[in-house]
Amino acid sequence: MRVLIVEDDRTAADFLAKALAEAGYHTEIAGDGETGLELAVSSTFGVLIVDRMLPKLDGLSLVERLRAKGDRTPVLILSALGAVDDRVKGLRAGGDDYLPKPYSLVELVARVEALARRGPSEGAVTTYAVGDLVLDRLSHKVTRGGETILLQPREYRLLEYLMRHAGQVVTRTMLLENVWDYHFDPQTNVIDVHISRLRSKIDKGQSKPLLETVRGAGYMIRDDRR
Amino acid sequence: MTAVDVVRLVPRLVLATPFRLFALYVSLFCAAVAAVFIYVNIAMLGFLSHEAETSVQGDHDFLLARFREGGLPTLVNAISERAAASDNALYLLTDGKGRWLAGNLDTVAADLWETQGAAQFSYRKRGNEQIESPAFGIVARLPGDLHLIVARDIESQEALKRLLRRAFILGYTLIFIIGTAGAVIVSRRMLRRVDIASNAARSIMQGNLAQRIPVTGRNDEFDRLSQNLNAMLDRIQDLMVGLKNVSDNIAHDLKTPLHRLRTRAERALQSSRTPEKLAEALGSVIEEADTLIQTFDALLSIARLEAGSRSESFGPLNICALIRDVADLYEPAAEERGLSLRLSCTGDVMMAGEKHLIGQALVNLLDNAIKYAAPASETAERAQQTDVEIGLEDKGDTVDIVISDRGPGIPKKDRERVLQRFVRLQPSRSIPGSGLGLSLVAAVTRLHDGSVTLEDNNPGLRVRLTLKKNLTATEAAKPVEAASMLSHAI
Repeated sequence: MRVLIVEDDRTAADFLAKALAEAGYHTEIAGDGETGLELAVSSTFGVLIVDRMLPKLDGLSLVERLRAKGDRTPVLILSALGAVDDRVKGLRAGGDDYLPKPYSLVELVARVEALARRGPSEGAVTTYAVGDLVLDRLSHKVTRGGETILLQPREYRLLEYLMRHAGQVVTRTMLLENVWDYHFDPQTNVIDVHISRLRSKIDKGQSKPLLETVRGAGYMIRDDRR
Repeated sequence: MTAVDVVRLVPRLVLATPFRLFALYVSLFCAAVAAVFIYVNIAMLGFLSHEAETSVQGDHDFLLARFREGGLPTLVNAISERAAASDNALYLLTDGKGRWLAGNLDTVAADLWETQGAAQFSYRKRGNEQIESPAFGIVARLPGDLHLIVARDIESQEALKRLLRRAFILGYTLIFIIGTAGAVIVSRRMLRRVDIASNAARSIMQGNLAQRIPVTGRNDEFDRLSQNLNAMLDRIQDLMVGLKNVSDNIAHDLKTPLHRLRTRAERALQSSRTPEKLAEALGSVIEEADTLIQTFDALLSIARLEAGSRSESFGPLNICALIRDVADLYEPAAEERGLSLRLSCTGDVMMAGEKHLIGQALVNLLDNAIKYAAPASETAERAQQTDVEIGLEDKGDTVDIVISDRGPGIPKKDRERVLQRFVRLQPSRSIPGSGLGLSLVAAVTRLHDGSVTLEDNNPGLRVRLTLKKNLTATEAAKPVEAASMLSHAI
């Protein structure tokens, strides 16, 4: 899959491209907003990564123009402005995700993966299954090896998000944003405790644990098919 | 004052606002006086000349009647009687050749005879031939080639006119002199006070921040202005001091981790022989960097909150749901540390606010509470009690969010101080933290027209956030709708 990076800081763009290449993406770099928009319009990309402050055409205008042309390519907006208002503006302009600088490359790659795999048919999927773990989105029932696992509503939502992104690294911030709808960061590792509770319910006594901790990054539900 | 001083003062005085106001006032006053003068002049002179006209006409008619009655002798008699009886009535009767027949006038200018009817002329008084006096009269021709002039001396009218004019000129001069003097005096007084203030301002600009504008104690508008400016200067000075403290703290609190980071990187470069060691060192370098970034983010957030006003993202918010939500986020973490977390908020309580900001404040407070709370297992007695509590008290226009713990608490003398940036109490230095958590809470509450109070929980700390609901009528009327908007996250 091809990813377009629109970023005027050449060094940052190169690091990004390298990290994405290691994750298996082909990248192209545009150094300013106009070039970025031209490239985005003239060829097909899986994900666009757009810096907010760009020469010639700023990131938000770029996304707005792209959306005005009917282009629905997922866009991840990068910005040195991290405040809530800026985030809201970014998403309102048509961005799909917003990552404040400085970001960790792991976080960025995880978010690109989430955007890239976001299929249009997501809403239609009624069950997620990984190995012998099955989550039924209609009845909110979770089973492992046929045995029902009782989950709290929050644990269910956590597992649902992890299973939707099975095989991908999901960071703590992504969980906070998507499961709790929080855009602020707790200083203590509150998420870890939630995860370990969930893990004790789905992996306890199992020979093959599914919920993995990815060191320095986040968590992942192992999906052998992918 | 020397002549040079005066010359130097004049343009400043003339340019001064009070002087210009005075000049305007004096001009307007003069214009009004002129109008009054013109009116008086016209009315009075009109009245006097009308008076003269009617009396001359009456005289003329009477003499004409005499003439008709008894002819020339009767007329001459009547003229003589009348001339003797009055001192300002003038008569002259001549025959066709201009020879004097009767009256107290001797001669008149020859061209006066050319006119008929009313006329104004001048004459010389008998016995005082040098002075020409003004007169007003009627020139008439009588049958038998007789010429009759009946007139009045109008010297007094002219005198009155002159008197009025003189009074007017004198009045004007006085008004001008007094007005200008008044303007100069008032301007100078005001200029002096303005100068004092602007000298003080200049001295402050030169860096003498403690300087204040003197207040006379007269409690006039200048005093009030000076008092307000002084209050403003006090505030600015406070802020400057605060800013200096903050930058000192920033220098310390950012430089320390930067120094640690640098040292670690340097050590790793020098002595890490194995890739594992290098990876470990790099990991800790990244950790330090992350801490720094967090500190930066918190600082920026505080700065933005303090500079900002209610943002556009303020909306109806079910504060009770948010509290439940945050408590739910922290409950497992508290339990893991052997702490019990009790939540007391049920139902919906609406207010206007920014969910993520209030959420961040609550998270910071719960973080602190859990970090500092003593685990219940320490004493058997405590095991009966809740270690950390979060609750809401609905007070009508405001809500109180109360978060309490049973940790060491904060001594009374430090309670104001800990809300400032980077202030960490000595005992807590061993526990990780930036010293910005409570500052951020304070900034968030200020943005929501609220306040933070730190209280004693006997033992422990109780933090009370008082927030204004600030609901408009429509927002208050629709709590259920807004609540369901939020509940998708729960």
